[in-house]
Amino acid sequence: MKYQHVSNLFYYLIFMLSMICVSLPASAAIVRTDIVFYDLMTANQRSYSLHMLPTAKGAQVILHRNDKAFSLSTAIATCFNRQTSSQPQGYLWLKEQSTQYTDPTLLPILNFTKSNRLRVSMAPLANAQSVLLDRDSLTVLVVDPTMMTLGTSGCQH
Amino acid sequence: MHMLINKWRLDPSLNALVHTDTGEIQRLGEFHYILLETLVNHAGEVLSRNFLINAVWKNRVVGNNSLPTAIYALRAALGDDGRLQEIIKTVPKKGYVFNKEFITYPDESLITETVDGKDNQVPPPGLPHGPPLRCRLSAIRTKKTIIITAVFIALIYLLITYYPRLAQSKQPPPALSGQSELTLKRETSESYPYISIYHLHAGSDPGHTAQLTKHMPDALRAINEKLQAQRMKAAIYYSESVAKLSISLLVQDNCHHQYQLMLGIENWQTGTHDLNSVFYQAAENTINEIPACQ
Repeated sequence: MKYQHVSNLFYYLIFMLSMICVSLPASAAIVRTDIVFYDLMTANQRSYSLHMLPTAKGAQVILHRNDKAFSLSTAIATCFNRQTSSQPQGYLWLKEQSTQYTDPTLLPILNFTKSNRLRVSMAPLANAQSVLLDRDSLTVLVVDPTMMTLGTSGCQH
Repeated sequence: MHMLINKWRLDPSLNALVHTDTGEIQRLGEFHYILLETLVNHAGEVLSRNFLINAVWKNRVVGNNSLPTAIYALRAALGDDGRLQEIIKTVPKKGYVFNKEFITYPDESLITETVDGKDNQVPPPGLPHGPPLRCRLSAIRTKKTIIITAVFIALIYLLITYYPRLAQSKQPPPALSGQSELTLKRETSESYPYISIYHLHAGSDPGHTAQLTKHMPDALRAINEKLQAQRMKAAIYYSESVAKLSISLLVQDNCHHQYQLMLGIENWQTGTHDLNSVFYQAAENTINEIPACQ
């Protein structure tokens, strides 16, 4: 038939997409992220739990300090220019910051992000994960699509 | 050898189409019948209007509408949709072409018609009938609908995927220099087979080659042993400055769940022993808190 090849290809694509969708849950996913800051000079240690959920523009983040009641809730907008490089660079914006109690050690970074964007470099990893390097605070973080949307949606004001 | 157009047999004595199952007879008229024969004999070829008029009406004077009217009548007789034109197709500014796929040969009817989909093959002798015409037309329409739907969905997907980028392209992109591109360098060590280590560096300075294996051999060895005991594996991504060492330790269990430890160590160059101790203790806590894989 005239359309047989096309329709066979279509059925093949549907089949492949189904297989991919079925196999996705088997991919590795980051289910928990712990953060530890330590100062070797003062032996001061702080531990946090990081919870991230992807949003259209980036992520909704909750940072909870394990040994105190402090918690930070913030929306992060991401802006990465994926078209110019295989290892994009971009920004993170922290918006709508909401804190419960205070954590003086986080004040510098929180105040900085109120009026500045964080410059971030990114490299893609396996399993649709990406490693981010925040060059302003020198922080390394691995994210996957269940944590953060990395794209250009957050570029819009 | 009689040929069938689906289950309609051409009967030259009657200038008619005779249905092989029901015996229904559709008289076509002399010229319409000759036109059908001409089209069938040249099935698969585009026949010009002049060719058809000369072949059917010979030297007679015919009006401009004679040929389109005859084509219309043939389509109606064969059950062909004038819009889809599955059997007799109008080729704009060229003429008409008869779809040879609708022609079968009854005296070799125990064999099915070609199924390889090659349009340019005449059905070999002995091919049996295809499915009823309406079924075939319905199947073709269904496939057309599926293909059009798929193309439409693909277009929607592309629009959704690329529209934000198109919209974004109107705004200034992040203006970062090429010096800030991330370099990911793997540090291999046979001493830690359960750990993959990657050094991150923004920029192209080749002299920036801190090696975690040199700074934290004890911690890495202990973590490697713990991972081996727990049947886990890990990847370490790290970057450093004079004042700070930042590490992401990604531990994966047998259930493909990953647990991340982000470790930021200020004044990390102060003492090697403490550095190893802090890293190992934090990693150990993370590994110990990983629930049993079910």
